[in-house]
Amino acid sequence: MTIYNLLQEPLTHAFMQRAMLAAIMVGAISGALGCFVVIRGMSFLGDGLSHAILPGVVVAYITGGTLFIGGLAAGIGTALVIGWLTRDNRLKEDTAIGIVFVSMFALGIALISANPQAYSRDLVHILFGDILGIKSSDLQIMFLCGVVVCGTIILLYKELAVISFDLGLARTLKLPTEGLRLLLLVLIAVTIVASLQIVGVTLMLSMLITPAATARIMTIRLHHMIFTSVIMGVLCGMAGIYISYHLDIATGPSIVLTMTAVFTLVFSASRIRGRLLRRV
Amino acid sequence: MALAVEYESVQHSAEALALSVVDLSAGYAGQGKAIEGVNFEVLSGERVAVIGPNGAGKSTLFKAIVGLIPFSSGSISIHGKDCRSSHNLVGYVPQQEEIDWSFPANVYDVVMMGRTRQIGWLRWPRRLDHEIVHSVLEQVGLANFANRQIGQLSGGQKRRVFIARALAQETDVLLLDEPFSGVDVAAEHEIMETLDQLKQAKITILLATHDLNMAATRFDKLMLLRQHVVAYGLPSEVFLPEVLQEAYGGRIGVFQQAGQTIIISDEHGCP
Repeated sequence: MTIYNLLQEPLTHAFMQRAMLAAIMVGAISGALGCFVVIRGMSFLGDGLSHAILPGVVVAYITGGTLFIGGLAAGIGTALVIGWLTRDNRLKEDTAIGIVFVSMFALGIALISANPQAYSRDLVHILFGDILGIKSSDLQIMFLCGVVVCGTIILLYKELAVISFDLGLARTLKLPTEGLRLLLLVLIAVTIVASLQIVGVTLMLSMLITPAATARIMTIRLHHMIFTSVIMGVLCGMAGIYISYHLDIATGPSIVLTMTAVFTLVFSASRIRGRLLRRV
Repeated sequence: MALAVEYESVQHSAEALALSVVDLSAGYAGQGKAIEGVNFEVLSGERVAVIGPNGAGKSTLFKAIVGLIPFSSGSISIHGKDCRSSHNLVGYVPQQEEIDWSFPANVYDVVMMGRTRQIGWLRWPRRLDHEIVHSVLEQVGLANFANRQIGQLSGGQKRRVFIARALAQETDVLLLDEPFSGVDVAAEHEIMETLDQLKQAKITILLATHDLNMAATRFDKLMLLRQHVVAYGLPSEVFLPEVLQEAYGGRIGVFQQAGQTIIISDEHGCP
């Protein structure tokens, strides 16, 4: 079996082609937006938000609606509630997240447990992803999410960079800091919902954080970091799909562990390099 | 005496007012007013050192002027325009503890951030913006450090990056909040040299500091602040025993001997 065969054979199946496309798109979207999550220290918020979409997904599932729409509504809704609760620091962000997001997750579990059949069968898919069950309509929605997220980052790059680096400057320049912060929250919600079917609710954070954290070690400028993170997200997504196919393990964990492996490599390499440079 | 007053008022109208603060009161929500009834004017190109004990309201005054905190009463105008009306009126160099120095940005990127408003919404920097960033980096002597990650700079260089960023805004009023705190003497010289260069460009400067000696020797005017303006004018008008005692209380020693004023204080102007 040649390397070409290893790479080509899985793609002869239609469901694997869709899985591959989905992994590429989601890797790119979460890689790009994840950079803002990492530099702004919002990873707890990302984790909370990914759990908070559960009730929306469950309601959509029970009523036979689109999971994307349900999750997106719940995600954007909670993001806005958090934004509203934490404006002017009247409630600390981590406190608000701890209360609101975990309650939403509990609500989701409660809803799905009322439906025993769905509870046993589909909870696993929602929690850990179901990349092999992706339909082409899902791919279209992912593409749309990608256009929205990446388009916004490109168009508002310098404003988002300013509010992330120096809120003081943003206010001095009279930028709408609150609006931009809410926009970021909404974009995180969109990204999470787009990634839902790949890695599920519980593994989501890794998609957002790990490629961006890896890219941060490798670069010193934000736009380089975003570019590197997108490449990382896409390559790790593809590698994760192949590994999952050939080793016959679940796809979500396979992608996550691939990302972690790359991060560990890059982190160690930068440490060793730093030590060597100091010795010279 | 009458003649002197007349002379001053003539000079006043001849030179443009850069900054005018009228009856300003401001403070953080729920903490009472840090400053109250503050009145002063600064002429174009003047350099004013703002001094006063810790908690006197120096930072609050600056933050109110640049729009970081709302003010409850009074008005602030810059070149005759209300400070809340426009977004490029003042450049602000914040206290350095408020910055994340590990942020993925090099010197060039940070200075370009100052041009966010000139570039405009939904756009990326154009040739003119790049030219301006190059020229302000030249002006503050950081042209060779453009590609350096900001965390890899010395204390004095870090301050100069933020001065450059404020200049990139193309404003001619600059506010610096304690740029000398936590830097060594060499860095202090570096920053002062940069500010001296800006004098030729007629940049108006307000600088908060605890260094009374530098305030007295390197600036045109001194403003002694403690909730309100205790004294404002030439060093000889501000460095009077009774004035300093009023602002600093017993925490500063002032003696007059053989026509010289001797001030004894520690580095921070108070214990």
